[in-house]
Amino acid sequence: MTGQHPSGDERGSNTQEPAAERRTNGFKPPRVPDEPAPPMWSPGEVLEHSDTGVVVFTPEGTVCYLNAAAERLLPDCAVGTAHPIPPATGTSWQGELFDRRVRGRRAVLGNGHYAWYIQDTTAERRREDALLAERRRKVFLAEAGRMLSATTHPRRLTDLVTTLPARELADWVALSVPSMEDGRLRTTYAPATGTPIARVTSGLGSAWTAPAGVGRVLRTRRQELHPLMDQALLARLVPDEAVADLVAVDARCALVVPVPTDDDAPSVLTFVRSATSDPFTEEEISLAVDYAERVGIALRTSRLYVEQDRRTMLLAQALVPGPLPEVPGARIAARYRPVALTDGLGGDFYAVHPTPVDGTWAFSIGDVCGRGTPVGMFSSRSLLILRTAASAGCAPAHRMALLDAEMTLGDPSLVLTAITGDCSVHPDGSARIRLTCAGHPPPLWMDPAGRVQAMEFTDPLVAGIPGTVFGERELALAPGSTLLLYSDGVTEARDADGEAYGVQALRHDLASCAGMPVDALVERLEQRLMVRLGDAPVVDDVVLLAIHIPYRDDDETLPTLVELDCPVPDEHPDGA
Amino acid sequence: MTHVVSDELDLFLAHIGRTDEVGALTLVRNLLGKGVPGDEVLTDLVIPALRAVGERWATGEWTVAREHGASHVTGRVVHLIADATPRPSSASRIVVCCAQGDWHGLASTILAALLRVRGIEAMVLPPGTGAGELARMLPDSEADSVAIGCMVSTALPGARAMVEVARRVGVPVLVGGPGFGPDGRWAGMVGANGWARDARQAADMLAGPDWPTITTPAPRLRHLPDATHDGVALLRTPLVAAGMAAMVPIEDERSETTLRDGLVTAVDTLAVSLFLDDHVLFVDFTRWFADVLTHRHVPRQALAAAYRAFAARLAHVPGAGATLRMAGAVL
Ligand code: B12
Repeated sequence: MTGQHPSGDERGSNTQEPAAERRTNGFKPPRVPDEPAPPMWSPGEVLEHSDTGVVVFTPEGTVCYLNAAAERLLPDCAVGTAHPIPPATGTSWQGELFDRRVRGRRAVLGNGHYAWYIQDTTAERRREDALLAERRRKVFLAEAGRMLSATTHPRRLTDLVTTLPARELADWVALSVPSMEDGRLRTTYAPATGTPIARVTSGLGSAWTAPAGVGRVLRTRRQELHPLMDQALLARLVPDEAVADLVAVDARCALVVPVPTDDDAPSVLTFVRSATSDPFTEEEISLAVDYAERVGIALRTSRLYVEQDRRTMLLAQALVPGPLPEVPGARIAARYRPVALTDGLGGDFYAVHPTPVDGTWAFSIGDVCGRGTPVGMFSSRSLLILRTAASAGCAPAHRMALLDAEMTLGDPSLVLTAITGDCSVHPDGSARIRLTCAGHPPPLWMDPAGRVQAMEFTDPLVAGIPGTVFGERELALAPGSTLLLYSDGVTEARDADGEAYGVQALRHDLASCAGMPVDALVERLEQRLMVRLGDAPVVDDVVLLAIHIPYRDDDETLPTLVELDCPVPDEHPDGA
Repeated sequence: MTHVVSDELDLFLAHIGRTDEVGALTLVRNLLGKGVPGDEVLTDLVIPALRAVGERWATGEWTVAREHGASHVTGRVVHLIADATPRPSSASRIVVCCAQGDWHGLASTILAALLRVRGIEAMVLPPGTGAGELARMLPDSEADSVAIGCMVSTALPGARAMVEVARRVGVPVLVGGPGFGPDGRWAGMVGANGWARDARQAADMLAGPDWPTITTPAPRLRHLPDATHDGVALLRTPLVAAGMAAMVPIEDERSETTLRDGLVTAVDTLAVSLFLDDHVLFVDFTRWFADVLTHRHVPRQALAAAYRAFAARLAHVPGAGATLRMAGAVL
């Protein structure tokens, strides 16, 4: 082969390196101008076998060459004619040719000619699309699952179930929930257009026997696909009320899927697509099934939650302190901030109750240690004992002893701290407080000048130990004074740094409330506490109970207020 | 009619300033008796009076106790008006609450009363209700929407937390109140579905065709993955201590409390400024706080010194130094 070339040419050195020549496999670029070798093959041949379609245009835009691949992609393209699809300008182009997806690159050739190199990207794009669709479905399921599991309210849940798949799965979605209890079928549906969600109730019996749609799926628990529907079929698939709605969206195909809820009869999801949407693909059908499974879990959780919540709420409501009664000669206000019920019932209680002695009334505050249903129940029992003892005329220490005696009978693991006291208001407006404090944070009191002092007690807590003796202490409150009772949830609340609020801060903040109406006072104390805690969670119930002895001249405002029929009559203004 | 109501403003202010509940209630009862609609009393008498109360507190004319007394009496008045005002049958149900960390419950009560007049059933949650509690009560509340009010911008991260829990269960959120900035500029950052200037606009939006029945989860915040603002909030205690030390000693104990509370708010506002990615909040706060301090005879330079002390301790927090410098420039 080398012999065909004069040894003096530029490649002459190759003759001295036969190995290098072998590597070139006989390739000779057709670049020798003076002595063109008879070609073993032509570039045209190469082009003919290329998978890339090549079309060469004259400067006027007529086709002057096209290879086999281009012919396949553009069957209507012929040499000598103009072809409108590949543009005459630009450097790249993406588009569709018949059912193929293509990508092209334009190169400018000599003399104003240009060529388009066109690649068929159909397979590549299909893979990409499938991947993207797969990712979208995953995101949709995850998002939907998250939203569904966060919702326990039955109505909101059905609303969500029918609106969530709007963009991803169907143009119209209905959820039908059968109830064996009342023999009704409740259907909720939401068109994708954002019009209000509709709810209809029909007899379960008639649906049950239906030859297709919800009724049949209820019986068979098998999904149904209706690739093409007419109005007659439509009317059998959905409740009568919804037919007009479906005609309006131009319903074309439907997918009816059972929702597994572990009940006797499943709930049923109906997905409908309009004539303008594509029919359901296999992947979309399995997405609908996956979605139905998530819906099933959510419906089940919601049902359990509602049942349990109703029971807890009934109990909790019984324990919530009622409004404070009006008492002569004093203003009382309280703040009660229980932590979430999900942590179990708390054991805090407080109340103001009557005594048989004229001008004397009683008050109590307490905390059964721990949380949970037994704690909550015992807390309401404790309050009842203190109240009954007070109305029977027992003195504070005696009441506490009765409570202690009751403790010896019950669960030995329960202990509580409490304060119970009597308040007698004298004709001159001042008051005398007589109280017992069993292990509870002792009360603070603020004199009319705004000085805050703490009472001191050493009595044990109420633990049902036989022979425990409780003492009593007296305190004279001049008009303008305030007594503050609080739970340890106040002083032991910790901020994010773990620092407790503490009695010192409470005393300081109480002093800053001098001169405020007693309702504003407890409100402000609660706020100061919460602001101090910042983002830190409140882990124990907060109770604040303030008793204020008003100045005498306030007595005149009391009857006026009652006459005024003030909306919340248990709270009154402070002295001016 | 309107001028009749606003004529009573001075007298009403005098009543609430003396914690004279009877006087204030009688005045309002008379207005209602004359046939003035309850919502007009709220918008033309109560809200302007509260604005005046805020100003008197800010200028130091009224003590904190007096301000609290006045708000307390106003609360009574609002209840009276709410009970005396007829409620048309309602088309939608909403829950009204304060942003977590905002204690202006009175504003929620007033807003709820104004919305009820416009045919929206509004249930008020007490201030201090957090995102967790909202998440627990919302599913059982039958509420179509949540309205979150915010009077102080430091509560905006709290508002964000509440918006997130509401939208996570698909309940759309409307926000309002001056805490969201002029024209509600921070409502979007908080993730709300809408912001309303006042009760009227709020009612129109809630009843309008564009208000969603069910919403998507709140969009994520791009600039927050580094949680810069948490870095500032966590240093609150040492920062306030450093700020107090940098300011000249104050003899008057009352001013000292205002100062300390103010520095706490300054740190929180700085954190929220970084949270919002907007220094305007902190600069505006600085202007306002400098005025409050001037009324209490604390020089502006003292605040500037405190800011320098903050900056020295926040060198590691991106954006904090620049924001502090920008605020320092207005001092
Ligand atoms: C009463 C009051 C208090 C009382 C609140 C008692 C209570 N139970 O609510 C107390 C004393 C506790 C208090 C505390 C504080 N307050 Co204060 N307070 C006020 C006051 C006087 C009235 C607030 C009110 O109820 N207004 C009634 C509402 C309805 O009126 P409005 O805002 O004009 O409402 C309209 C619109 O904003 C809108 N709107 C309002 N809310 C909502 C909600 C929604 C959802 C929508 C859609 C619309 C909307 O609609 C309304 C009209 O239609 C204001 C002064 C003022 N200018 O309002 C200061 C004020 C809000 N407070 C202020 C401050 C600084 C504080 C404190 C930090 C310090 C202090 N003063 O002790 C603490 C903050 C505690 C906290 N973290 O929240 C500042 C805020 C300044 C600022 N830019 O940050 C103000 C503006 C006073 C001032 N001029 O300086 N405050």
